[in-house]
Amino acid sequence: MIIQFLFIGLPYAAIAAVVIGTYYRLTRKEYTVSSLSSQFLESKYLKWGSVPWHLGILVIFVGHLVPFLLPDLWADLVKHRSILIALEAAGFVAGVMCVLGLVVLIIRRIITSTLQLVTKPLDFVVYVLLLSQILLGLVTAYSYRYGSVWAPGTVYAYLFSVLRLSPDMTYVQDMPFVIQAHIALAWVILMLIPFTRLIHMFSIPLEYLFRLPQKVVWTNEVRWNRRSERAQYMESRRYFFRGVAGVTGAAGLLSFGVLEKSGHYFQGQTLDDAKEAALLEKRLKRMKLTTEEKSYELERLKNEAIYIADLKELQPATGKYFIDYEMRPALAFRDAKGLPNLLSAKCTHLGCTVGKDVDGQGRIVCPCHVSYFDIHTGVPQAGSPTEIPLEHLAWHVRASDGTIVAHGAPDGTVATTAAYDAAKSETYKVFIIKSKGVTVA
Amino acid sequence: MVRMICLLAFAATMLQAYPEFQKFSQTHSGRTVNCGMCHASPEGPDGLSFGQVGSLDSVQMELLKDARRAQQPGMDVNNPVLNPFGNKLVRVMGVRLLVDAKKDPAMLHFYLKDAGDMDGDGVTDAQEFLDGTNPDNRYHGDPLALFLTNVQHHLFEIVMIFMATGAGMFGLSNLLMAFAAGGEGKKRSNSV
Amino acid sequence: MTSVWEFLAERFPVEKMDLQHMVQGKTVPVHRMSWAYYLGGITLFLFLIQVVTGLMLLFYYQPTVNDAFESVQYITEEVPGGHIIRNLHAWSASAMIFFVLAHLVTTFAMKAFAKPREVTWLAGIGLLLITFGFGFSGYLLPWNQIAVNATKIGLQSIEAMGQYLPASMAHLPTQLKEIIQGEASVGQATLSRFFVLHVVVLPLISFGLIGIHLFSVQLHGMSKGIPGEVKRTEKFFPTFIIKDFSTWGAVFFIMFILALTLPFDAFFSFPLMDPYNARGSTPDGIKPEWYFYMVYYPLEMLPYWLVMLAVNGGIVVLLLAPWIFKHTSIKTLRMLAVGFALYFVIITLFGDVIYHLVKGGA
Repeated sequence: MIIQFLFIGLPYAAIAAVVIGTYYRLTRKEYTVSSLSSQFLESKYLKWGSVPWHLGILVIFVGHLVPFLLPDLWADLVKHRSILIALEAAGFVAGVMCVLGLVVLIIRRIITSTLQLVTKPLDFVVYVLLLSQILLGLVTAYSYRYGSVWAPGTVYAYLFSVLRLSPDMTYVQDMPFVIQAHIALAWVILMLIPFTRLIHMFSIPLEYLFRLPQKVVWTNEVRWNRRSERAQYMESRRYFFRGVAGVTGAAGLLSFGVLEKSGHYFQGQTLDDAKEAALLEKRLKRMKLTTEEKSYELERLKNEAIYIADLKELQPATGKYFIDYEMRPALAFRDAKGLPNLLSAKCTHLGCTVGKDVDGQGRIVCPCHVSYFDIHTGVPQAGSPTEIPLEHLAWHVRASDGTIVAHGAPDGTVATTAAYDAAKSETYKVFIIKSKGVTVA
Repeated sequence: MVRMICLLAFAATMLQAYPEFQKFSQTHSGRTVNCGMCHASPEGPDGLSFGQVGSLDSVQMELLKDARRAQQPGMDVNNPVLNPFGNKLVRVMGVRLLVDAKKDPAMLHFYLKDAGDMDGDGVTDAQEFLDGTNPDNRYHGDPLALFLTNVQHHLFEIVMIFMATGAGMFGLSNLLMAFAAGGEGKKRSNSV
Repeated sequence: MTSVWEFLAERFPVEKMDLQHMVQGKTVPVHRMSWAYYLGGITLFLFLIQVVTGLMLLFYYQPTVNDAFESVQYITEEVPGGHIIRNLHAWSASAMIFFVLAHLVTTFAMKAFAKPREVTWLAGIGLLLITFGFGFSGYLLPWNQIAVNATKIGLQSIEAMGQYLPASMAHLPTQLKEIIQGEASVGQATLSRFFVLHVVVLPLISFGLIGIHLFSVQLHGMSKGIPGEVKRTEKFFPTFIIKDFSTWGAVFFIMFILALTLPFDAFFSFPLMDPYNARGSTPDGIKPEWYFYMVYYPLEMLPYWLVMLAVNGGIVVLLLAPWIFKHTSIKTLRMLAVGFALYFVIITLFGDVIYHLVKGGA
């Protein structure tokens, strides 16, 4: 029963109290939305109490807020062990700072007689609650380590469920007592905000951060030049320290994820056997292709005629690619008479390789700039970017016994010899021959 | 040898490329697509080069035959003339459906819809087919889709780089200011 | 001869060559066009990125026909962070060209070439041409389909010049092409030559030219850039330089995010990214990089000689700008600059559309 009250009743009571109380105080008593200043009454201890306390509580506040607002980012952050430890350490140090600051503040209230005039009983309640809350937090952080990792899935889930108006306390009901106390006390403190000096957290002078730059008069030109050497040295030093801090911070941030990667870049990858094998296979394949290419080149340098295909393989509508004597791509078709038609496939425009498929009008097309070439004459269609026809290549056809039965010249003329027999064309083989004056690259 | 040649001829007629899919992907996306989307060789399965029917040894020939028998979906195939995406198609759809789908290539998207994202670039294989991008290359895909996925994926690095750049610029500016202030002080003390 | 000495003495006044004049005392005009003063700095920063990432790529790249493609693939697929480095190199290359052009257009519009800044301008034009040289030579190195085919097209357009020359000189362009190419068609010799150009020759020249360029910028200060009087100035050091560095920071951030999240290759059809295959057909869609569109599309649509005349004429005009536009007002120069910028943007964004409109069909 008490558990239900602490984790379901109390939260809504607290939220209601904060909303209504804060609204009342902001609208009706707006000049009290602050923490009563006591700096004039006592300032020696104040800076040793107030500064560490506020610094610490800000860090802790941000550390509690970010996982609530940006859970994905937070999860990404704490995934990295180094960041997790850095964050936890920062939180712990901030907690210790809070405790020290609070202790100083409490002692100050007690031992300074002037202060007691402006101290209300509620102030002490607030001090004690805050101190207990921070101590509970520190104990939690110390004994149930890495709250940054477990809290998002449990405490924050509970928190969300409360905010979604379907409170689900299964997340927290079996938690250790310390954590439960931390959560319950948080609701109590929240509830007290509008009725105590804690209300001042709603009047943070945020506009200082965004207001337009204001000219501070004592740094005008004349004064600037009159500044003492010492001041100038101090200023230079301040810039220097800020600079070093910035650059060190940048280097530190970069070392998470970026610099370490660039280190690995030079170290290279250690591959497992399967990957290594796959890579080697790829390289071998490339080498085979290169070897093939070189052997083509050698073949062309040494031979007067080179076999490119069986006559029966050639088709009228789809060309077969081969390499001509100048190591350029070329296409072989079969013409209407059943004889080969060999054309250079290097586009006379800018040297792309012409496509192998013949369209309905007996043309092949270069994909680069859409030049259509007639496959019989090699002449480009009017309007194509080039006017130079594709060359015909010199060839001859041999029967199976090696006799030459037909030949074609670079000018496109074709002739058959007496031995030509269309019935035997299944066995004929097509060769390209070295034409005069052609040099091999 | 004769058997081999027969087999080659048989394989070539049975296992020709399906340019219908290529044409569909190309017109749908406006990007150039070639046989390399599904085949091991960008020039398609016929031929003598690497990844084409003519280059296969007897072990690979067996694999090819197995793959052709995979009429039904769900068979584990490893066809040497196909690339991983091509093999995945056969695995997901089976040869029969695949051949059927030639009539309406958009169906491929339907069958692949829940078949995942094999290169892990955040764009599903089905979508990559429509986009005309390489489903088996994690650095290839619709630029906008890739950008959005990668931003989500690398949010941590991006935040880090942002803070690091900010801190670095802050530091550098202050160092320069320190340098300038120092230089000025010296200048004055010299002139005094 | 003495006039040469006089010219140099005026451009390199020795009495101004000290820290006081060149750094501490330098001021930068503040006016509506002040943003243009940052473009050169951004270009320099991108060049530095290129140097660093380029050197890193050199640790793995192998400039042979057999291995080039595989080694580039190894960098992207296997090397930790390799795809970021390669992508950063590609993105910054494009960005560098963009900022070089923007720098050119704005300095032209601000009449920054006027006396005594002729040397700065000439070094700048040299750097512009070298940057394009970097782009052209670097494009070949991955040895994929688009790389080799686009290089072929580019080199062939040199050869095409032959037909307009008198018969006795008609073979010269072909010879020039083969000297660049190193052999009859684009092959290993070409790759080696482009590699050496890209990683040794061009960087060395650009280091020299950048030295001259920056030195004279510091020596003569920023040009005033607007008609009329400059009302306000700020100190170069540290005020301007801090702003300059801040833009560098922003550029670095953007470049890095792009490199991390958006693969440059994704903008190309994947058949273009296949390894180059000398014996297959050329895939569709071979195009040069976007910054060559301003020459490429006119070449597709207009007579060759006209385009070549315009390009070469343009380069000559740029080189002689300090003398040609000696008495031109900044307003007129601005108009010219805006005209060129408009042409460039339109042809780069809509070149393809215009091409299809002119040629008809798809």
